[in-house]
Amino acid sequence: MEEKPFYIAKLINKLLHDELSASELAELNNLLDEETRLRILNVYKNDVTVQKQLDYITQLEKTKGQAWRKIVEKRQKRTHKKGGNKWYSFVAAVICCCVIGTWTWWYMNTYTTDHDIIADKRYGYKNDVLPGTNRAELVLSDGKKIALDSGKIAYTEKNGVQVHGNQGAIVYSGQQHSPAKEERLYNILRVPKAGTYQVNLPDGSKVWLNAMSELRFPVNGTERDVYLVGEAYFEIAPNQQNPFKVYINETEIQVLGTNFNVNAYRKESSSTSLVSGKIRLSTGHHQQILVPGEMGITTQEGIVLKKANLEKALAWKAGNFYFQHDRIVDVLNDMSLWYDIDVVYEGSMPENKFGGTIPRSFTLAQALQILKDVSGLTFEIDKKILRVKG
Amino acid sequence: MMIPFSQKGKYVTTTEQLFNTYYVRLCDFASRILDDDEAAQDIVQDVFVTVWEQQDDLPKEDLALRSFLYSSVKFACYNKLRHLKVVNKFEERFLRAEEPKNQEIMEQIIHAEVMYHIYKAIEELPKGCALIFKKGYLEGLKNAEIAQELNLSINTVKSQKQRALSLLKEKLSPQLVSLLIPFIFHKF
Repeated sequence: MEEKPFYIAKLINKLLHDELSASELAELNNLLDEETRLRILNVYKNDVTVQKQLDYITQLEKTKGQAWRKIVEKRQKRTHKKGGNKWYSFVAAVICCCVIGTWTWWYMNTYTTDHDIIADKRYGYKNDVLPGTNRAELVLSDGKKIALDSGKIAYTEKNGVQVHGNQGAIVYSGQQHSPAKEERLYNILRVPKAGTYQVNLPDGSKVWLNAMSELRFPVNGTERDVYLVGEAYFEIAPNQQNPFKVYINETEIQVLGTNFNVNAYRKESSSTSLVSGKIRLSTGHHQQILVPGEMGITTQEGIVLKKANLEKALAWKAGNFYFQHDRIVDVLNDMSLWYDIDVVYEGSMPENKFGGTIPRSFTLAQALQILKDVSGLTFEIDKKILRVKG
Repeated sequence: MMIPFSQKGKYVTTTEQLFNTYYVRLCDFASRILDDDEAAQDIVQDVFVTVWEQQDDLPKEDLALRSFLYSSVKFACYNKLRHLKVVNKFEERFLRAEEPKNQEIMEQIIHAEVMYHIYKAIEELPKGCALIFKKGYLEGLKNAEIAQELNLSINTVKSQKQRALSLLKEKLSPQLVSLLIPFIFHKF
């Protein structure tokens, strides 16, 4: 490997110190073409990235002593391997296996089963729970399942349509080979509890899925009928000739080009809040047209129109919990999906209603701190069980 | 195996010195290739075990040594990526398990070196004010929490933070410090 990168790093350090002479600046520009130079320097303009990397470095510095001990141990093991009594090594190996085995078993039981459980240092709970994150599973038309997190994926469907995924979103692109003899191919995007994901459909529409939700959609760019379970926010690409349709149980939402949120967590009813455009809700023999700012609640009996609280309906997408006239049970129900926790109630719960917002980026303990103050309830966290005491 | 004490002693210190100087930035570098913080630390530790064994054959000159360490880590990461590819062939995971191009490697080395330099600049602030600055800046504690933890008044914490900031301004360019300020201050 050449020594160029170290020299460049030195020049950049000088630049960050404001100590770079004109000739050195010229040299830096000479060593790196403009595109590369800008790409490298831009990293230091993004405070989030810098903070993240400094956090990692801080953590490494803190655990340096441990790391050195590990190196010494590994080195000792290797030296022992070279010479030494075979009998002795065998016994040592057996003991090692037992220790590692037991430790792994114990570790798996306490921690690995859940990476979302972390230590709580601030609020005095047994442990804390991390908020949800970008995660989902994509099922391709041939049934192949792909785990999606923040890593990259790339696939081509049988009909030539491509799907790329990165950073919490998958994007479909490309045309199918022969639209004439088309085979209807469907993909399914499944978002678990404590997850959220975005998909840009082949027709250009965008859908954001909330935790514990599922969307089944065609992958050919011409069909526009999708099936939803759970909650999603839709931004539909306009196309007058070919309406977009969302199916939820018995309800059909027909769309001509618009933004709206559908909450269909409950089997017996769903609510659709319209931000802009126009949609038609139909269930059984009932039909209603929604105008922006309206919410349609669909049950077996029919459709009820109400004034929508858009801030509330879209809060999840904006990264918040939003409560207004909600009982504590409703509040915690909402939160249990995002933290993937089970809530156990002990004693009687107050009937008063709560209002307010809590960022979804908070850990469980942080969020509970706010609820504790307003509700007067006490909470206990035990792994992923939340006990609420009235 | 007999190793004369003085020689043994020398070996320990030199590898340990190398470790102290390079461990953190090599981990940073490896995690940029692997996208996995834990695996990165493992790999760098293994590299140091090997370095220890080859103590006598290491390049003597600083830049050559540095470049030797980075390329050892690079090849260890490549091996890991190849291994992951085989292991996860059927699981469709680790799809980013591609070997980065030379250009990318060069940029990652630059970033690892520069980031560590920035970290050190903060680290080298005078003790008291560095501690307060780090608690607020790197660990995200609020003024009141720092005051409580260190048993100081809130005003002392505030003034130490200010002092740290102006000292940093002397060490780093004003542009960089002004970039850091928003996320120093929002934690106040």
